[in-house]
Amino acid sequence: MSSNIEDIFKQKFEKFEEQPSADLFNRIKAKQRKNKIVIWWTAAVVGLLVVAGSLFLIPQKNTIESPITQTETIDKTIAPATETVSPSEENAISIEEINTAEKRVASPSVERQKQQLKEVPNYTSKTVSQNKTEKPPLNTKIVDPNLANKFNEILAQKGTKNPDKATIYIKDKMYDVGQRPKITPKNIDSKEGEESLPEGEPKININTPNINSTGGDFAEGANDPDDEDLPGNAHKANKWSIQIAGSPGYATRFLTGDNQIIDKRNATENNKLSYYAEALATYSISEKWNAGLGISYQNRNEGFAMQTQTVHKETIISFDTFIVYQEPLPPRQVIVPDTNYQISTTVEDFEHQNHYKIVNIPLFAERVFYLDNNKWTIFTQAGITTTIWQKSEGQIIEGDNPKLLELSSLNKNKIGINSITLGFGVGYKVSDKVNVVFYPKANYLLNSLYDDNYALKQQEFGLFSSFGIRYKF
Amino acid sequence: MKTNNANSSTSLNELNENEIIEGCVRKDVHYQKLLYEQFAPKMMGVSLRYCNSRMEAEDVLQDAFIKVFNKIKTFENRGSLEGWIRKIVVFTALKSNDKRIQKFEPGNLDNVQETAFDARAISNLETEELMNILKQLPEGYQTVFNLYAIEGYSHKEIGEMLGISEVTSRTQFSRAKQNLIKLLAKYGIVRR
Repeated sequence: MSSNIEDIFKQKFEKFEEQPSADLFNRIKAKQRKNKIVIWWTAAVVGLLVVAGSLFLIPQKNTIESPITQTETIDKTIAPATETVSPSEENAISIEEINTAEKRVASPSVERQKQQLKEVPNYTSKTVSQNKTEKPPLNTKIVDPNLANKFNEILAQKGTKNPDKATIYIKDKMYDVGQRPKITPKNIDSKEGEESLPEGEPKININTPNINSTGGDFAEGANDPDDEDLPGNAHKANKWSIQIAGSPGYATRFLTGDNQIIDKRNATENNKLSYYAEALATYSISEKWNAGLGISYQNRNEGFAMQTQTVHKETIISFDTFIVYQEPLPPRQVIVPDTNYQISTTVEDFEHQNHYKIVNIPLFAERVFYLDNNKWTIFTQAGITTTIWQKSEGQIIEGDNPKLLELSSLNKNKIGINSITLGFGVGYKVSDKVNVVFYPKANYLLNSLYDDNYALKQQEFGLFSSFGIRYKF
Repeated sequence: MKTNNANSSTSLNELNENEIIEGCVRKDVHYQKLLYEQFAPKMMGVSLRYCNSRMEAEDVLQDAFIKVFNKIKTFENRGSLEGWIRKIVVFTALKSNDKRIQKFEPGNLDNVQETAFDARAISNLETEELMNILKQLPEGYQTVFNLYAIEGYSHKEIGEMLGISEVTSRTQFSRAKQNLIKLLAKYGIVRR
């Protein structure tokens, strides 16, 4: 016998066992699953933020605000032969990122110019590197006489005091000398610019802004390629948009698990028209990328139809009459009741509608493609959603027919579940601020409607055309 | 046939511990359940000593087993599996109630006096009765008494675990013992 109190306690407690609650193991597994979902959710959000952040921070290579890496200097001999300008290294026009711009514009005219540059030796250029990088200077010859004329014309119109240092900015088929151009889509579409060209002047195969009549457009200080109206620069001024859209659509569910129950459910359930609505706020994090957050509501409707069989048992009582001879008594008549049963079955249709209502918070990244005419935009979207409210109403077959399960009994612990959403749509610009969007979306609910006690897993899928408007602030 | 049944029964009950660990590393629910069934009652006993209620003890056990399942690949067979799980349960219990750590009062052993008691009388008590008496101690005393007397940690280790000094741990333990004897005397189990 130990004499230390601690030894006595140790001996007693070392063997001490207590049975925990019977469902504790299931609770452990459930919490593990929940933790896993939280981890994936957090990782997805962090991933999205990292991607969004990187896109925001990484300078866009193809925009005019990129650091100048190479600058070409063109001799003034690019002017037509009628203008005699002595070639001079000092008397030169700088063309900023012409190659980059050409790549971006990628129009046949520019390609043609590039081809001409290689073919025609009449107009020579000498290239120097403006920055001090060790990259070899890019040798480019501008040979299109119209383009050369235009450059000179711009120089003259601008009254550039020091044309030697004039810089030509080329961006999305527009160029200017001296300052960064302010060119609105209206200018681009307008024919005024073309009309203002000197008569008889062959048109340059580049959309030319209204350089003659809209000198104000190029006024110093007023010009910035970051202007919102440039096709790629909408994000600079108008970072926020809201989108309200909705539509009827197709939604269904995927069942996995017990095949017998799945067959019965497939036989009794049929898809009905479903509905979707969303209100989203999008933030332009770069020229081509948006991030968005909002709220969406989805109502999947489902028809349920089965036949119920009722067995009716009808009792029929008939009476049989017998003559009983029992001597010495005289014969007598005995009436005996006879009980029969008639079994009949009636089949009735049992129908109702099931409704699966879900409110989600979508978080998504969106890639925007601007089409050349600046009216149409293509959107692609990928995101994740978290469910904040879910309600199912109606009845489905639980197990063996005709046992029914109330869907409302599955409406527990469904907050925080998540889904993935993909969208591919198109927008049409009806005004500077309003786009009409047609934005078909698919979403897939990752978790099951059932909990683990059921032999089935049910995952929701929706496909909605999603018509609406997007308003740019 | 009987022999086969007996064998399969034996292999299930006395399943190789390594096999269970490997199954748990693969996250096989079947093996996780075997591990749980093997250790849950014992660990519930441990958890109950550190917690104020059965519900709290089950919460601790739940979190501890999640850690066990997630971290079992780091168990390198250096000690016993039971010891490793017990350690996780104890640490989880301590972490679940950080308030206890605030209740340790630094002190010295000067005022602590050893008291004689009748060991046989205590030995005759049921574990549940001892648990009830232990639960009447202040929480700080309970924790140090549990860690030192029953889990077998040294005062230095306890100091590091609870963020207190080694001397404080010793003091707490001595006072816990004194209080236990007082309580036992109060209930007429020992004479002072």
